[in-house]
Amino acid sequence: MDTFSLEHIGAGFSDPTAASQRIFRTSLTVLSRPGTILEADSDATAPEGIGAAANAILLALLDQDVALYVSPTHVAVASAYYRFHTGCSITSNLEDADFVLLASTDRIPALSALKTGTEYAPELSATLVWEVAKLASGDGLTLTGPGIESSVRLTATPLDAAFLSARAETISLLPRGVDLFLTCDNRVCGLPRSTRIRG
Amino acid sequence: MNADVSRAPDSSDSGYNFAYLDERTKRMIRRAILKAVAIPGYQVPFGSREMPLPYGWGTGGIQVTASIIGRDDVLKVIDQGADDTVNAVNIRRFFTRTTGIATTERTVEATVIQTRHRIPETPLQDHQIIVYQVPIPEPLAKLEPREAETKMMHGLAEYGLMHVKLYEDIARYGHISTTYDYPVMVDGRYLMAPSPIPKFDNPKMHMNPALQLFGAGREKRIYAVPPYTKVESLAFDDHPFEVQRWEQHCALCGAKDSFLDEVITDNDGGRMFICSDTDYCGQRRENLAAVPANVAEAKSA
Amino acid sequence: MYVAVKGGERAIENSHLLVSEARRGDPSIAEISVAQIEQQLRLAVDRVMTEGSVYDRELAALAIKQAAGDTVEAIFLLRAYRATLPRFGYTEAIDTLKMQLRRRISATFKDLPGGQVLGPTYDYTQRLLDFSLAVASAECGEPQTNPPPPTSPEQEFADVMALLGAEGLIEAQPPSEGDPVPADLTRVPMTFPASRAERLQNLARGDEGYLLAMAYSTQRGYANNHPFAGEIRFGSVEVEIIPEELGFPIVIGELEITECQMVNQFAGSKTVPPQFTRGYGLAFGHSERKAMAMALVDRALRAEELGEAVVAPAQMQEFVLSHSDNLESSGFVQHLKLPHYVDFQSELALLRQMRASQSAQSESSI
Repeated sequence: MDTFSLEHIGAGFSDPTAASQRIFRTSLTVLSRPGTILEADSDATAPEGIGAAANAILLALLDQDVALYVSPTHVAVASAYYRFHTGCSITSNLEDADFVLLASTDRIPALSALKTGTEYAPELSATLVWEVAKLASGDGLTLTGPGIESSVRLTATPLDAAFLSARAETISLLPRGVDLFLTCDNRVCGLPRSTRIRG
Repeated sequence: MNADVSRAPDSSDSGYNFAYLDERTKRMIRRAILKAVAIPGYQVPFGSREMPLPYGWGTGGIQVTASIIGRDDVLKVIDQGADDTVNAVNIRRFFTRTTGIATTERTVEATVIQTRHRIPETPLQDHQIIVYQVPIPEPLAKLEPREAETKMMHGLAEYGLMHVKLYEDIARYGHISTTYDYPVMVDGRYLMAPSPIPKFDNPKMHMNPALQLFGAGREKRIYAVPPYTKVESLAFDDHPFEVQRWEQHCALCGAKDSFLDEVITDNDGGRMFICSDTDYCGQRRENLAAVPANVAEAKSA
Repeated sequence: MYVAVKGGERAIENSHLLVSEARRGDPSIAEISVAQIEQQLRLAVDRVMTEGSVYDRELAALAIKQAAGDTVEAIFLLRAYRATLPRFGYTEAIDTLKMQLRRRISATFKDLPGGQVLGPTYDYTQRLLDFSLAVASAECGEPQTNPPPPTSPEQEFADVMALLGAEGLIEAQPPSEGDPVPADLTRVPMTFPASRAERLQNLARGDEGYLLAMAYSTQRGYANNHPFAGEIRFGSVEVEIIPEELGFPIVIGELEITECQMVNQFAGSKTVPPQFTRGYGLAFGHSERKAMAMALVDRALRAEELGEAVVAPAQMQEFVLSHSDNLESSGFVQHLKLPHYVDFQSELALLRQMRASQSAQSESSI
């Protein structure tokens, strides 16, 4: 996996303490207010092909205690980068991953193939950082649930019918589940397991 | 590496990292907070650290605050609703020393409010986060102290035990005898301890625009109520949930809608009632003073 | 006009000054040094290191000085300091068989390889106040006959457990399958049932007085361990790490430790012949009371594993382990000093309301 020497690894946060806090707060805001889209920029140099928001979130949240699964699209360029900057371990098994990074071109995995926790420990579940092709407020899906005053509309391509039915299945697993950050370039939106989605 | 910045020279008081905790501990707590938000009302276990303040004195709230707070935040710390109680002063000093950030006593100016036992009277707004200090996070603990058992009950959403307890109260006293830390259901799924706030404050938790985070350091649990989330106090059809009411109003500001502390004023048991929320009371008095005396009298009459 | 009490900040600062003054005591008496505490209050230092989970005699001594001799407060200071330390790596497991012994006794065999070494112990001091200590003296007496020289690290004496094990008389203790890395309860909160590794970590950090009382209860019939002090060792062991770039162990220092291996009543089944069972205790420095109490409680907590009925407090994992830590218990008991005006007001209001409705009822029934 380590096909890159250190000098090929791009820069991380120049001020890790401040940047990690700021990006975490953005993550916290979007996860507690599903449908809200915020910018998550940083001064890190993301591995080629990975958007600024997805990169910042991973740099802010990973460390030695977690395992990351990297999309086949990015695995060659990104594994060494995240391992170097965060100390995380890299896993090639989806079901072992605490964090999963997927590209917009990846086939959407069955969410139940990820760690969903147990009914007694639902927190032992994966967080999916998913780069989507389009992310915008309005139109598209209707979201309701905790964090949403009445309802909110969200367009996220390719959250298609196949994804919605896969997610509907995992809803029956609640409180087990998977939590999502949808990212597009430097923007991010949270989709926790508690959100109800209508197509 | 990001993970090895625990001695980063950016603290305002020498020797310790910004907000005291090392970066790796903050990450662990941040991940726990995110899971707590995604599973409203569920208690997420976390690797609580020994803090330089004693367990039971707000270490859970402090660890949560230290993990979320940034240089642009404005922090308010209250204990029993007041900014000037010794414990609140001490925790505020801790964050001033370790972060150098701005603090305030005004609820409306704060971005992060750490509290023990109260929710401010001034309604919270959607850019705010309130962090509760929690002594016993398990709402069933007084009925079933074994965690192995309560974990099962939460997993199965089996909360009959709590209903039986409340019902027995009614049979014995004619009332539900729980007046603080009154159990709530969050988003219809998890039974949750709101921390020892008076039940007077329970309705404020329901559909609150602010994010509510709960930290229990000694018991090593973090939980959350996202903004705009249903929070229902347990009740029965024939015994609906009711909050405390006072016949008196605040002796200082005249408020009739706030939680009142009873103060003994002399050896003969003379007493008065004053707002427990010092900021709320102070603001009301300022506003009263700002209007001409005759109007103020007419208002408070 | 009522004015609420203010000035919390000044009160706190004044309280700090008063603490310093009280700690110093009479300034005409020489101030105690950290080195004096480290050297002359060594057993207090050992306890603070053990329960504080930091092996550093100087810091422990400093904590004792700062806490004016309050051991639990000193443990708190050391733990809070520990929580800020970065982790550089993990040592290899220490090998107590290679301990350089200063004391080693067994209550199960009159003599054994390596012999009984009494060493520095209060056990046979007659507890008469020694008034000669009231006056500072320059010299302390030399032992009349030289004690046996400390064993060299090359010497390895089989412990009692190995001797019994050779005959199959005591349960074997192979590493768990795959020798997994034990959970670290300072990082991941314990869940129940807890593994033995987690239980031992908890007990090692546990309050000595609490463990002593728990252990004592097992001897008085609340759980029946039937213990024998198989072996108690006090001495120093080497600590090794394997640096990644070297790939072989190097010694980075020495620890003084006390180890206790209790031999307890046998267990067996139709398929496994009866064998003695083990209880284990380990503490930093010279801490025999702690190590012995820990070994008794460890054995009691193995009740379920050994097919014994869990009937006594010392056998109840969640009860024992959730209440052993003196930072947690001291903090929570003492948090009752914090204001509870709001909760109390809520209770007052309810009580008045209930009394009023009761007296209204009894009046109306007249």
